[in-house]
Amino acid sequence: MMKSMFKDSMIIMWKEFKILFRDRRTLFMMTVFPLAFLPILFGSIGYFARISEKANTPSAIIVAVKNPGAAPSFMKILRSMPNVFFSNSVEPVKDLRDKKIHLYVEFDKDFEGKIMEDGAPSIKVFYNGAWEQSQNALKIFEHIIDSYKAQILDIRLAKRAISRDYLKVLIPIFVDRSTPQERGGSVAAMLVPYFIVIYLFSAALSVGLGTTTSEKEKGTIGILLVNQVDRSAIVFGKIVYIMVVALIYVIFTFIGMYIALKNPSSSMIMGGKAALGKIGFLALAQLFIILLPLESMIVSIIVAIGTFSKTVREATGYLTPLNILVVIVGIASMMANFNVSWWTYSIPFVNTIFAMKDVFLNQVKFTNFILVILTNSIITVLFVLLTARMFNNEKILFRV
Amino acid sequence: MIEAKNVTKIFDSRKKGRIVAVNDVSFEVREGEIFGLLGPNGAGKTTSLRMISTLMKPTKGTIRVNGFDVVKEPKKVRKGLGFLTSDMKLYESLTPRELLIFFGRLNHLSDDVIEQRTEEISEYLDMKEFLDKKVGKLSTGMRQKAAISISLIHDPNVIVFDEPTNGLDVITAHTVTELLKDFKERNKSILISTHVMSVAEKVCDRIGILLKGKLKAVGTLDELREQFEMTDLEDIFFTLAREDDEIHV
Repeated sequence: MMKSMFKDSMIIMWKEFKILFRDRRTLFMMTVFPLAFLPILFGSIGYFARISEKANTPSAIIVAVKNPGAAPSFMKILRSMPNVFFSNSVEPVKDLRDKKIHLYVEFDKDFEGKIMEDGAPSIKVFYNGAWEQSQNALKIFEHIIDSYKAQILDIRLAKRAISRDYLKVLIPIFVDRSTPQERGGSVAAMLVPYFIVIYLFSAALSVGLGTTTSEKEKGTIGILLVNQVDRSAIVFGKIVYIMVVALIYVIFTFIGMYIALKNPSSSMIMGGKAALGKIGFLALAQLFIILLPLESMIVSIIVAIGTFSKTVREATGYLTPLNILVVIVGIASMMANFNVSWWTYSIPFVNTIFAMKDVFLNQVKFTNFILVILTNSIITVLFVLLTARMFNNEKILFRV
Repeated sequence: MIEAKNVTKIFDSRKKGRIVAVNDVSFEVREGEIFGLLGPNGAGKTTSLRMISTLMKPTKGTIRVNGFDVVKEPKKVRKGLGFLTSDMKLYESLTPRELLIFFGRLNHLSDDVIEQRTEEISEYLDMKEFLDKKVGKLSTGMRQKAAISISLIHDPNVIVFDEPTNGLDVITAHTVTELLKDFKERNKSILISTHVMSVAEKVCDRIGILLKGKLKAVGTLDELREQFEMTDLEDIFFTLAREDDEIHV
């Protein structure tokens, strides 16, 4: 009985794959797209970030100064800077807003006098916060102010015969004991589970509806049902098929992500190749063991909804809120950097994301691990049984 | 053979309420006979055929195909039954040969038998020329032949065709009616549903007139003519339809 059912399921799967291999668009979306998408995305972001950084770092800073005569020593430093140019702007504030000058500096009328008297004169620097070049010019100007302050401080200390070392009351030393791989692991723990869950869901969604609701909509389901094949075998065959396809999609996505993170262009946004951390064989095996029940659960839910729905449109309507929920859970858990209670590992979707994080951070707890597998497997079995019942229910299969 | 006894099918719809699609219908289809269920759209023909082919369960009554109950032994029923309906579609990206392999395997035939049956059927239905072309690229007639070939792959002795000539051009419709006659010669039990009088007149040995889910008359064409004292099947049909308030003239 079981052997015959398994054989029938394999026949159903054979048919599905035969159709899949004829569908170039789906094949492309399943292999080439996930392989190329992330490298192109990360590479593009990195490329444009570099271009933008380059474009927004001014090669020359144009400054308008009010009361330059009040601060001759400061002006001397400024004039010695090869990339600082002065503007004789009549309306410096307007010119700053119009992006004609990068900064507008106002010295106290008695700037130098106050410095000599060991006072603290003011220096007002106007900048344009909506213009990145002005913001970068401000950063450079802050360095100039800092070096001027250091010079003045040295003079004042020397007057009192105090050594600069006297100001050192503490020498703090901060040591990061993590390896680059471990630091990368935490990036991976944040990033990879989210991508995997989202990608698994979207892959299973398109293929799942194509083989369930779409069969009803196109009218091909009837011809399947009048054969000697057991209806549970049809359900099982379709579920295994969608799982295999979704798994292929995830593997290609994972490879794509690896390529993307290895690319130096992506280093500035994702931490480069270290982002994937030290993923050894054990971690990969653990990931696989966690992903299978998750995938079965997602697929069984989609197949159940796909079987129930009359049209792909109706099915998409039912699945959209679930899809949004998965995205929200994914983003929320991506941000969550805290330890969670054991019962969190019994909440579908959330549990797998946290379990995957544990794998990447090398802090897998056996009981939590088992709880994730059990929860997702139980939900899978429930949905498979529900779908098998629906396949035997004429009201659902032929509802119009 | 097919035996339907006091078969009733009721649908409970939220929107439309309780619908009696088939109401206490009894008939039988013998070996070497073509039985036609004649009726307008919505008369209950397709529902009757779906119950016989195990796609739906009767609310009341029993249906036996080759002696097997459609509710209790559906797999045994399907083993000896070939079912074809116009609303069943084929997988567009597969070829007729691949479809025959797929459905042959689903009917638990060995690959050798499938190969042999494919040869026989493609010869019989004159399909060789398009056996390896994708269904999506075939004409309506070719598709109909492919669909028929699938329903015959396991060599059933009971054949149920729902509106077999529906939507076909004259030549393909003729081919299909000739096929039905040939199945009869091979001693198969054939049940067809149709709303086309000429098909019923030309092809069927016995006709059952179904109106609003009720079988109003059953018999050979001669028996019906004698019973209603009319020569034309169309006149008989309209007389029954008027009696049943099915049509207003």
